[in-house]
Amino acid sequence: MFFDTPIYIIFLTLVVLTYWRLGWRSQNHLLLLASYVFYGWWDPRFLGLIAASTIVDFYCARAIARTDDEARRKLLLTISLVINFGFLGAFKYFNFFMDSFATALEALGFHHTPTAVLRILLPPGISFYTFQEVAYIVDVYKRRLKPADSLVDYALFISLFPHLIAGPIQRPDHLLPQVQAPRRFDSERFFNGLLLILSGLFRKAVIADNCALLADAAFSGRMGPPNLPVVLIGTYAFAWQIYGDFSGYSDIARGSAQLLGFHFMVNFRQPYLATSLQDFWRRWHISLSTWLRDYLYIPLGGSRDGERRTYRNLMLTMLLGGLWHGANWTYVVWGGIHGAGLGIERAARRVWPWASADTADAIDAAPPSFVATWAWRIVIFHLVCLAWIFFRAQSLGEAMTFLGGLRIWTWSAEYGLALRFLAVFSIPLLLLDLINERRGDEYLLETSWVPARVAIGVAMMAFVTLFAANQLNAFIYFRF
Amino acid sequence: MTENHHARTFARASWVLLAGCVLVACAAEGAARFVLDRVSKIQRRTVDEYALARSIGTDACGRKHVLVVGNSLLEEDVRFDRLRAALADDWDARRFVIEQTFYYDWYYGLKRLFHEGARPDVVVVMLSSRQWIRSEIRGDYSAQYLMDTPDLLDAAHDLNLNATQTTNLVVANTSKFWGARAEIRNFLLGRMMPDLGGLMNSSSAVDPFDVTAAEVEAIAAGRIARLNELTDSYGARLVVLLPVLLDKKNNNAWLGMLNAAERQRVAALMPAASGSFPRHLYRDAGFHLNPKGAAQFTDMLIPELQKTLNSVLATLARNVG
Repeated sequence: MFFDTPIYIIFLTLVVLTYWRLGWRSQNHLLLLASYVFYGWWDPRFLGLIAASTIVDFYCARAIARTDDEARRKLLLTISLVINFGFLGAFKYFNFFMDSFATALEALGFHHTPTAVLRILLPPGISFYTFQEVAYIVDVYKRRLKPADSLVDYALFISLFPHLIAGPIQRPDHLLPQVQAPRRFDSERFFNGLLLILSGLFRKAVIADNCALLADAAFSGRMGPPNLPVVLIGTYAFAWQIYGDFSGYSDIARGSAQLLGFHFMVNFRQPYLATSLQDFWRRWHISLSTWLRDYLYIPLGGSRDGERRTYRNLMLTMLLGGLWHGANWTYVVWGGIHGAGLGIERAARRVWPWASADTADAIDAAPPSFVATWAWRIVIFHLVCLAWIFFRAQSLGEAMTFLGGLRIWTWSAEYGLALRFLAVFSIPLLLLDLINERRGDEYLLETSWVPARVAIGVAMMAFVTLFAANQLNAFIYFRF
Repeated sequence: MTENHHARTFARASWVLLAGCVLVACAAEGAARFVLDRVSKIQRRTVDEYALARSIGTDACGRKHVLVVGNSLLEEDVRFDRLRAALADDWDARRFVIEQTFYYDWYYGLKRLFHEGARPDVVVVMLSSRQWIRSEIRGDYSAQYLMDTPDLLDAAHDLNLNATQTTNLVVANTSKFWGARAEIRNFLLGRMMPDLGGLMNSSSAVDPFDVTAAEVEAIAAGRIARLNELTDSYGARLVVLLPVLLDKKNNNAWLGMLNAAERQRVAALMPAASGSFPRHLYRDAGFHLNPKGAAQFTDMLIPELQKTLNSVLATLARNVG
């Protein structure tokens, strides 16, 4: 079930109407059932997989908590991690590693190597719920969290439908207590939830899906062979598409959760207004970047073991973060660009503390000027765009060919029109971000007059109705 | 502000917001039902042609009836006014064009037209080889304008749609707004940026994959048989009309179509082989013919179609005799 379809609106309405008439335990049962219906709507065969990994982790966590024998605890943790990453590896990366292995053998001169013939369907959301399960089991192992007593509560924490397919990846210590305690109807939270859903639909259906038309045309060659204008139009369009798409998804997820009395963490905080790559990762896909920091970067040693190790850890974290997005070398390169960028930024700060507008020392010494702030924003935006080219391309070859277009200058009237089209559908999102940045609100115009917020919500609905780009157009992050 | 007052304010705001959203949705549905057909040229043409197609064969005009259906290839590549005039002595020729349509659009579209009373003697379907074999439809628009409600599940099965896509078809079949929302958006954007049509055409995929004659024949034979069975059950003859495409890459795909049609004993017309028209007879994208190319193609089509229709007339006369 996609969030931007009528069936989801009907489903959500029925769930919300029934939910608030029930007692707390019945609410959890209803939500678990609804979440499994939501997930099975794609392909009921995948329900077995999520149910199996849920049951394994639930019992592993309880067994870990019950024993003080370190060896046994470690063994149980290992079993759980092997099963979780085993499922993820088998379903998501099997073909990738087999194909890469065959390519490597070919390159070494071994021809006619047998390639994998097993083509496996990717279960929706497997990367997201695996990370959530891993966070839970690790937190229980590290005694940061008490394991859930009820299988229903734990299964609901894993499968609660607003976050199930594409996050935001919920931390056990944030969501599990909400599942385990009665929720109280809060009309302000409900209202903010409605606004978040409308804002998400606006971002997805109006901004992202329209920008996708240009990005797809540019990357597929339908706008002609790559040249400077085509590369810029395609890359900018994709930058706004993916931001609108994923932040839209996150807004709808958060909004839907709020209608049910839950609170999800903020996943995007005006990422294209970042003044450094580090700042970008504090604003982009926050639930993933903090997960990677807490469960990968810090366990690897973080910045504790000297500069060299810090650079290595940064690069490893970003490479694996890239690979998490998909089984393709393009994602690895995307992660590599960010890893290298973060490393260079770190090194530059040691030599020139003023090198980034958000360096704490630099800010303390003298707040960055308006011009410096915007100059850094533009630089960082373009670095991020460079990495997006690899993220969007189907292969490294396609990305390099596309990038090669930067050396070629040709112009046609069609490009001017494409730029105008892009401006129409990207500037509203930029303006929304500027307003949010200035006010520091978690919700759209949170501190404004309530009738004005209602009017903006209705206006968004009107825009979604009139300018939604297309037919059924899956959210990009559903693939991951 | 007391806590109660605060809660009441947001409860009221939620109701007003929901009511506003419902109002917008109702206004959109109303506009789609009562305004769109009047203000959009393409939509008006579609609705007019649909009405004509639905009533074909129901009047006693003393002539036989031929219904020509297809997508933009029919709209752009055939000068239908000329064709209709050339056939006018013996045939009442009507056209029904819906852009970006494929085989399944027309299988279910013709089924609905027959069900609604259309009784042509001959149905001519003009699609490219690849449009015959692609398992796609135009989407929500087809569900609204080409499909009958009872056929939706069959269509979903044919198209291998998942539950979400199927429910979307059902909604599009019920709500005119949902079915036509892409047209509404295109219409509004067209008003804001008049040259946008060209850009959007280059942004939409045009048959991106290569096919061989054998692949076409394997898939098209079954589809032609199925469509032929449908037209036959309403006493109409099926004729397959192949457009003249520029691309050399797939220029033997037509052979697969001709073989498939021959296997099913269905008449297939190919006034000019793909790749035989020079580039200057095509529009910019090289997919549709320009007016000069369309005139040439129509001149080649008229005698071939007349010959085919005459043989149909002869068969009908024999059957009556």
